[in-house]
Amino acid sequence: MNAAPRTVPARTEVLVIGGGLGGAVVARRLAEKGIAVVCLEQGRRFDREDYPGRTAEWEVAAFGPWHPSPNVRRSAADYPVDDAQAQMKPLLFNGLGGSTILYGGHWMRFLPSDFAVRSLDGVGDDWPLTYDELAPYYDEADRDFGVSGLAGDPAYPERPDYPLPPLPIGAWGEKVAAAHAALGWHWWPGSNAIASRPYDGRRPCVQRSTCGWGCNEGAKASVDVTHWPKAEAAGVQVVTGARVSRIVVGADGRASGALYRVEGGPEEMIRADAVVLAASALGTPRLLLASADARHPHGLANGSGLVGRRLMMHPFTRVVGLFDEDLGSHQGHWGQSLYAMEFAETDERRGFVRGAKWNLTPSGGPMHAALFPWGERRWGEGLHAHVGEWLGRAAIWGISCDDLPDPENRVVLDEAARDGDGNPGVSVAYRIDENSRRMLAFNAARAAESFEAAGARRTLSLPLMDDFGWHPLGTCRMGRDPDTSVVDPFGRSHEIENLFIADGSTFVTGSSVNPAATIAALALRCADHMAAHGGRRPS
Amino acid sequence: MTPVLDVARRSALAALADILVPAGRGMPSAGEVDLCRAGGPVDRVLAIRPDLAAALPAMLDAWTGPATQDGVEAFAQGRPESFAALLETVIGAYYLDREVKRRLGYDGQQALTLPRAGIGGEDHLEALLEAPARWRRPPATGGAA
Ligand SMILES: Cc1cc2nc3c(=O)[nH]c(=O)nc-3n(C[C@H](O)[C@H](O)[C@H](O)COP(=O)(O)OP(=O)(O)OC[C@H]3O[C@@H](n4cnc5c(N)ncnc54)[C@H](O)[C@@H]3O)c2cc1C
Ligand code: SF4
Repeated sequence: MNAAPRTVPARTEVLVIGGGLGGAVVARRLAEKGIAVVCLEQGRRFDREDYPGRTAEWEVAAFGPWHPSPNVRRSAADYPVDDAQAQMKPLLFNGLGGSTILYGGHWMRFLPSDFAVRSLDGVGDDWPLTYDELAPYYDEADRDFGVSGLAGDPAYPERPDYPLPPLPIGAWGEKVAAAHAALGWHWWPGSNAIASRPYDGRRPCVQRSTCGWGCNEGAKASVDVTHWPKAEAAGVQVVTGARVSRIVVGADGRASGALYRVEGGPEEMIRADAVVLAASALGTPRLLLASADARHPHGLANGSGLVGRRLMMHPFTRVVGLFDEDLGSHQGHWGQSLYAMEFAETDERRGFVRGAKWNLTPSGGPMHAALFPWGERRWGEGLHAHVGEWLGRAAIWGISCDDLPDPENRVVLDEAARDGDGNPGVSVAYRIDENSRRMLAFNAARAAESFEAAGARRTLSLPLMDDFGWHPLGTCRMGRDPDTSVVDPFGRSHEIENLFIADGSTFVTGSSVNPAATIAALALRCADHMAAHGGRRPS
Repeated sequence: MTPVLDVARRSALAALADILVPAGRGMPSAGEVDLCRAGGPVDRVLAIRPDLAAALPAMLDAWTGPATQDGVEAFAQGRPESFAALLETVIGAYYLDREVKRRLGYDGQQALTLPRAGIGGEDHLEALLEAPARWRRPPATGGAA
């Protein structure tokens, strides 16, 4: 009864492990070039009707079965993540579409300086590629995801127009825009992977503000909407509920395929000419470490010892501005209304290097208002005053700090905790350094000034919001030197030439901006390289 | 299906809910809207939150009172995880209640139509569009790593 469906082929040209952002982009691209692809995804398929946003109970669901932390959600697709030693708690989603099911769709390119932090600021490492090399892939990803935005931002090099015009910045955005004009600070209308007009079969956004729990309209560009239908039409075979337990390496030193189970059924082997890991910055090192064998006792592709190390998550906090008038801010895409890069580049006079990206968002509903950890007692007499002050009257600056790699920030196997198929979970260690703490404090103080200039009656903030590790990255970094990196600049493993990584694991540094656009661009580049050279390293 | 809350637990929860959500600022208390009534908002919360449905009975059974502000405060300090489950249940249920929403002026999340033209803030954009580039140009290398 539980046997893998007979439709799963025993062999394919390319096996993609993980149906999230990186996996979808690679699979679609390869299939459109005529390459046979099978994707194994441990979670299930979702339908727009599954999401809670249109129901009265959406907020109750948001704190439980639709929570972005696997430790709260605890669905059958989730694997154990021990984050007790992590000063930021990782968030992710396991299902066809991966974390894009829940992501906000804030769609940001890295700054050119993000690729050269060692050369410019003497910290971290340079990437083995430049903004200019990635720019054509960014352009393509913008079209594939149907991004809404406005070209001309002076914080970035020139770029083509976005495929769609920007979404409205909201009454709260107008206040902040005016404040920043007066302060002489940067702001720009939000770039979002959310349709502002009908696009490629997607409906435009209806501003319901429930983007973080799946988009009922299909306006948000999660890859189950933008990529998987096209990939499957081009021939990709997607198997959901299929959890990979290890990658198998043959006597020739090449990946020969992977072992997996479909919904707790018997273990099966799928053979492939090339394997692409796209299981996220937690799931990918987990699989590489779990695939250790006699010839690779420390895990696959781990000659550098860096598999699982250099985890980055963007130290994060929020500053909330509470305004006297009703701004209608319980509605609006969530998504970014606008963003500010005023403090994104290094200025050492501030007492730290690198910088933070700010994104302005709406306020959420009453339960979010009530339960936000606002530093005062969240029940009893103060409750009604607080919710009344917040609902529709709040705007939120999210402050995402650049994250520099530290080899001690890492993901290791947790043999003591097992997923539903008996595979080990992961344990995460992550420490926020002094540079990041200064960056958080400086930016939170400036964001409060931003709201004060915008007319907020008061602001709320916390030094750190450790529950919001939205962006796990960096656990299999790319580079040219096999001694100091796991994959090459195209995502090909240094050690196993037909094993590729096409997810957030390959990041060298974190940048301050949201990572999805860069993961998509790198995955396109990886797929083009694979299509050109296949499972053989070009000589 | 056996209800998660029997009569005794329901009334214990109702007493606590009234402490967590008293009346004030034009808003009713949890008791005034009978939050814990059978088939009411609390049951709606528990129906979609098996985690809370599992945690709540044990929490209520272990509650030794008193159902006063100080008693709840002491409980919140001593058993933060159980208290979080209690708070989420009560707060989640409260804002599901129709009368509560009416008084709050909150009609849930609505589908709106995007404006046909204009995004707001255009006046302030003009200056930025003419502003000099502010990004840093890295040395013209792909780095050595
Ligand atoms: C709540 C939230 C909000 C976010 N908002 C933004 C935003 O606004 N902008 C932005 O740029 N980024 C955002 N992000 C981050 C962004 O979504 C992620 O960086 C991105 O999706 C990561 O892509 P990925 O390919 O690395 O992994 P994922 O997209 O997470 O995909 C990994 C997939 O692999 C599958 N998998 C893992 N292990 C196995 C296995 N053993 N067998 C089979 N399948 C497996 C998983 O089930 C999952 O589907 C957000 C993330 C979250 C959680
Ligand atoms: S606000 Fe827009 S993008 Fe977000 S869930 Fe609603 S329709 Fe989707």
